[in-house]
Amino acid sequence: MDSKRLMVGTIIGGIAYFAVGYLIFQLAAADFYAANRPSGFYREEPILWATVAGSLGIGLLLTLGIMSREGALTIAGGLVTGALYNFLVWFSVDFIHHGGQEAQNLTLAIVDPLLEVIRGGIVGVVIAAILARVPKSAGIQPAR
Amino acid sequence: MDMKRIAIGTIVGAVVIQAAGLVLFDLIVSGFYAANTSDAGRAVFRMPPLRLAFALADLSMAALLTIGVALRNNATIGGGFATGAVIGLLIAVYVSAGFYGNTTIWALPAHVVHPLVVSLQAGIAGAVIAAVLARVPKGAAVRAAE
Repeated sequence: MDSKRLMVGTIIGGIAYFAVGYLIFQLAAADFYAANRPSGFYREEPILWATVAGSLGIGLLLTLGIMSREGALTIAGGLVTGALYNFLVWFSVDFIHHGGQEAQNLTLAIVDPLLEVIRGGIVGVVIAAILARVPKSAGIQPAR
Repeated sequence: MDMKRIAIGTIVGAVVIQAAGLVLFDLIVSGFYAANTSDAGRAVFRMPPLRLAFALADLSMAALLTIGVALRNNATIGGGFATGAVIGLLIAVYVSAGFYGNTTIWALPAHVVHPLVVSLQAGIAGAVIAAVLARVPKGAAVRAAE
């Protein structure tokens, strides 16, 4: 696997994941989450480095998924792969939390993965568009 | 992608994730998690948990692992373990880091150890999925009747 393309996809994907997440969850759907999330254990000031580090992890996962699928380096391919992977990740995470915590209600467990489809799709498109512009094996070509 | 292989891998993988989760989280490391849970966290955990919700979550995770293993043509048991472990690690790093950044349910050591445990759980599931997929012929569902 091409490590340069993997790194570029991870960084761009991580930034896009963080930015799109801010738009969807902190702005567009903030009222919904405020109404369905309990109080008491959420930090008043989030730890930013941890959130950014996490976004890089999911950026790497989505990049691996897009690079592994033949034909995924198109807008449509990135959209489908990103949306599918992010939905499966968040359906799993949300239902684990719903099953294990009183705090996570069923409405949130159902709606959250659907919103994550949007985020995953957008980020998948961004990663596919960027990777399509990064030449394969560019990082290991011999010097002329 | 062969839907029959995906369906078989998903169901088998979900059973393995559930079983491995019981052994790992409920037996081996349950004391560690309990010691690293805050009072606020203890107040929100269900006793007992909703096993049906866990089963749905495991199906979703197993589908992702099966897609990952199936994309590696002819994955061996070792290859399946590696694929599952990487997918599990990346998901758990993201979730643990995000929850550490936003909540006070667990102390930092739990958030550091959790991705490693999930990686082991997903690796075991990936190995079993690879072993099962190796025994399911490709394209079996779309062959014409003879």
